[in-house]
Amino acid sequence: MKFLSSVASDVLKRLGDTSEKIWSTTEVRNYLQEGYDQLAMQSLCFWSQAYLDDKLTTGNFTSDFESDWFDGGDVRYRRFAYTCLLDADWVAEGDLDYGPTNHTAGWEGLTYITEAYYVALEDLPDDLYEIERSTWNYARIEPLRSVELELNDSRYQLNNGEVLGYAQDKDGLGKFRKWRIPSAAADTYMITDPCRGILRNPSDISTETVHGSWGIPRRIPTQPAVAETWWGLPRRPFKDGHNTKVEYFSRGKTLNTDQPFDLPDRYVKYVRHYALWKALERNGPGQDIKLGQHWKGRFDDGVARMIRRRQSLTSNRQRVLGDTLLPFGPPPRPKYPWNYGQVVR
Amino acid sequence: MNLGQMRSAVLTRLGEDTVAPIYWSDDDVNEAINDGYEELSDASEWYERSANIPFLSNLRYFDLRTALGDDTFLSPRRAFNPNTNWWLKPSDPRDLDFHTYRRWEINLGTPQRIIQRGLFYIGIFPLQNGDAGLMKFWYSAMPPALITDADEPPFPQEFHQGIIEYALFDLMGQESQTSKALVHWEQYQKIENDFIQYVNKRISTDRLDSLHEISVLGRQ
Repeated sequence: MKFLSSVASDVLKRLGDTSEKIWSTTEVRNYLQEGYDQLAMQSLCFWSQAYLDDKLTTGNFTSDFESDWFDGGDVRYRRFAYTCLLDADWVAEGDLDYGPTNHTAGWEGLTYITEAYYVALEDLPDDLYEIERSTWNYARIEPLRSVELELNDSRYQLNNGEVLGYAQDKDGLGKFRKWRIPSAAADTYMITDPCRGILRNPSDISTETVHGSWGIPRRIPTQPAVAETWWGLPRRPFKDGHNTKVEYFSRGKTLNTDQPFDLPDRYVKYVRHYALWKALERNGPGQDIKLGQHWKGRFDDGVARMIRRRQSLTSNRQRVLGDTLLPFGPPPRPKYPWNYGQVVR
Repeated sequence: MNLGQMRSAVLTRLGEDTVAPIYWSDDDVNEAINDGYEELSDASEWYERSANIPFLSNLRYFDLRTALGDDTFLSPRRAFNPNTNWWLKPSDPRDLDFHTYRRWEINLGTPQRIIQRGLFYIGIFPLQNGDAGLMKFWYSAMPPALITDADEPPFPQEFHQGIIEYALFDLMGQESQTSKALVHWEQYQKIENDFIQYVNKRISTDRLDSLHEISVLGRQ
């Protein structure tokens, strides 16, 4: 496991500048962070999961600038623009997607709300590069172009129901539009006090016998284990039931002195190559374009290796009995019925 | 050639005293040699090993950066379930989405398939019911570094010269002798290509005479 500081020292050593006469540690660290992000984006080596919870819309601010006024400890729900569905005709087009919200705190929604509102438009995680797969209630949902939705369900921004697909091409980068708008909340666990502390008593999550009266739960039946060992504790009990999940390629964690690279040591060398390229390429003393290009080539070769390895499992040929190849391919494109548009007598 | 012999060869070609070098220390040269050893191993993926990964209830995906017990993983190879004596079939999530039960993520049973997610996660299908069993997982990895002078790369010594060329490239590059360094890089690359061929040619499929147009791999 390599840390930023040791890799930065290694780069300076290879630049022949351990006394930092030409390149500073800060500059090299910036190159390393840049290379780390480039490596992740080009190779798509990091894979993550996130939940875009189907839950009641709770809103407690009406404009983005207000979020600066939240104090530490305040729960920042979401922006809202109107409080009742019939108001939708009077709000500006851009505000429509912030959805109606009729309560300002989560506990109100759980206890007192009779008219439930949900929204289709969700923010994707900040570290997302590309969605690989998305599911609702454990089943794959299809990526759709908004024009397909317009043709097949012109009220797709208003209709509620099961989530069967999603669109990403109309509402801006970093947005995820569920189709249809959820009509019910995802299966959830009831946490007694949503504001404080950590999960201590799993009795509302499971009927499993709790051993002892001290400490904290470490594993909960039906929940994924935290890691491949017996250690750790459940962080947030997610449920996939009636919930939307995205599986995506992500950026690595932001590096700092205490945060090691998420990569095996060998792959950190590729990041080192990137930093050497950038350091040798920059104008001024120490510039060596020829050697810089060498390190650029090494970085590119490394990324190509990672891509090949990531894809190797699905591209291997396979021997089969008979001459029929495995019926594997992209899903069939959605089509109109065969008699669509014809006059039926 | 072992590490000590390779270091002597590098120092000699750098014009240094092999016993008491002045400009380059033994550590500098050892590091450059190990860098070359890593590069050659990464390019060829000659080092293959296996590890047992225990199944845990509800754990579908295994992070190979931690589940294998070391930090040297390069790429996945094969997986075997010793409980059933079945090889786990590599599958794409789309294959499962379209050709099995749509909600395959909730299927419980004996793991039969393996899924790769990103470069560092391996998933299983169906999900193991309970904390029982394991899979034997083969993968390519980085070999242990050469530490003592007697350590020797366990592949034919004809290719050890590549490590020496790489070390010369690395050290001359650090001295800003770019032209000389790149000459050694070119020489290293030739040996690297030969070594990759050597590794990949361990086994090959011969062509078989046939009255049929279909090859063993299906229609071409």
